[in-house]
Amino acid sequence: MEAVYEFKIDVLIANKPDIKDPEGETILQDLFLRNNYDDVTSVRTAKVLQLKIKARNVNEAKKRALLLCDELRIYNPSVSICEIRSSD
Amino acid sequence: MNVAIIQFPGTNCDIDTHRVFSNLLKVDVSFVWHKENDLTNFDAVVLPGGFSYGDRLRAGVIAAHSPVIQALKNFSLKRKPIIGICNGFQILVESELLPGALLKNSNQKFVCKWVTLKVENNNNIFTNYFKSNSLIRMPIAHNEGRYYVDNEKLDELERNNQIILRYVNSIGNTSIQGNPNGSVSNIAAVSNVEGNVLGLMPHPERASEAILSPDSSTDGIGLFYSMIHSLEVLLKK
Repeated sequence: MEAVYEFKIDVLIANKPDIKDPEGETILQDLFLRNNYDDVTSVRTAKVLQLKIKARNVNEAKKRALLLCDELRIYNPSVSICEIRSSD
Repeated sequence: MNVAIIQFPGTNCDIDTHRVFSNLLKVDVSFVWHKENDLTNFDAVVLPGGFSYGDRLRAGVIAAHSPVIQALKNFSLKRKPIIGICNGFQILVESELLPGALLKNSNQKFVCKWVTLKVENNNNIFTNYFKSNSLIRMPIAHNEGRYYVDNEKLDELERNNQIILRYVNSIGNTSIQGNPNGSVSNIAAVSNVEGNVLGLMPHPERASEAILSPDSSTDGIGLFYSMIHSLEVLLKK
């Protein structure tokens, strides 16, 4: 029987690029640019869910994470994208 | 006629809404806890405002997984009226009973004020009490009210007359100044294609009694009058 491990999976939920992000704009204008960090040209905010998932390997854990995000509508597909990353 | 008011953990406009139906409209109205899975005894459903599940993850999304939502979807298939107010609108969107999304207000602030709205479509069971293009007043109180659909979907909403109310300035223009939250095309209320499901960010239940209004207006009750009248006609058939 194949061993099962616990994997750390990050789910990043971000608005699609064409969606206005007022929070990101405020951070850019009123924090970075106001303090002369002029090399910063864009800020987009996002939400990260840090999951621990039991699986046989990291790919299986990532697939499982994406499936449950779709099934439970963890992100609203009309405005957001969802990226699955392994933090192990 | 029996109206259901759905309660989720964090709902807080349920009592106000109940008062409008029981005291002002004199119709039978019951609270229904979100764990119920049967709405067959009801003729109309209201999802009132509040902060279901503390707006965790995204306003309305956790409530959208409650048992009562499947019953609500079956209820909608029978073309019975469903109205979602504020958080109720967010829940309807997250349940996919209405299209689009409700994002954080464009000014990054919780907005609480009275707004002017234009009745864009009065050929709907929730607005047939009003004349077309009427200007009405209601309060809003929300942090995530920026309605968004992409351009393709917006065209579809326009074609199907699903845009029911728009935010306007005091003289009825759909200006940026009249838009309190940055909603696309100043949309304040949308319906589904069939017209039996309505979601709106303004609070009609808070604009139903003159004593609660800064200018004594009671425009909000017009939506409920429309719904009750439409139901009475339907039930007599």
